[in-house]
Amino acid sequence: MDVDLIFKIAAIGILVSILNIVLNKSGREEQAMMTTLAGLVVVLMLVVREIANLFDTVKALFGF
Amino acid sequence: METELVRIAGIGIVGAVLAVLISEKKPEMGMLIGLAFGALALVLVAGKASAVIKLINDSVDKSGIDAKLIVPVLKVTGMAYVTQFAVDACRDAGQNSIASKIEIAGKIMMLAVAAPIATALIRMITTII
Repeated sequence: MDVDLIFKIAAIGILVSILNIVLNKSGREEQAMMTTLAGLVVVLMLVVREIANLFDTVKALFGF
Repeated sequence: METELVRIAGIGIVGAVLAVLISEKKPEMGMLIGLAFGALALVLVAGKASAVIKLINDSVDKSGIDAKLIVPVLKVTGMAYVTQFAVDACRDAGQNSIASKIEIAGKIMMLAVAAPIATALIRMITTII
């Protein structure tokens, strides 16, 4: 039960939203969109790896 | 066993608070936190379920029922496990239509797996009568 994954995702989320605000205020909307997409891709990779791990466990356990 | 439950409950609450905090600005991130917690908790619980499954297999072997019958039962349980996870994730993201499609697909697949048992049961009954 690694708690740090949840905190890592939360940290990325907060970071991205702050960066977004700062970039928007300074007039660079495209870069704000870029950072949002980058943050989303990173978090998605983390979550997809965890879900793949879950599905492998279930497959091994229940004899799929 | 109980300590893990307390840990999961605690982390769940913390995750929920974080998800609400973040989904205010970034709704998709909030949903991903919920998904990540779901995967983590279910991996832990699945580990515990393996002990139960070993118990079932041992008792089935001792009782003389041929092991072939127990395999679909476990398979359907696993499929229900996965379907419920996917449906909850889609409902979390607000996509109720996708969630119901996954639910229908899951039910049909489970039916397909469970059908042989039903026919075996009917054949057994007819031989008895």
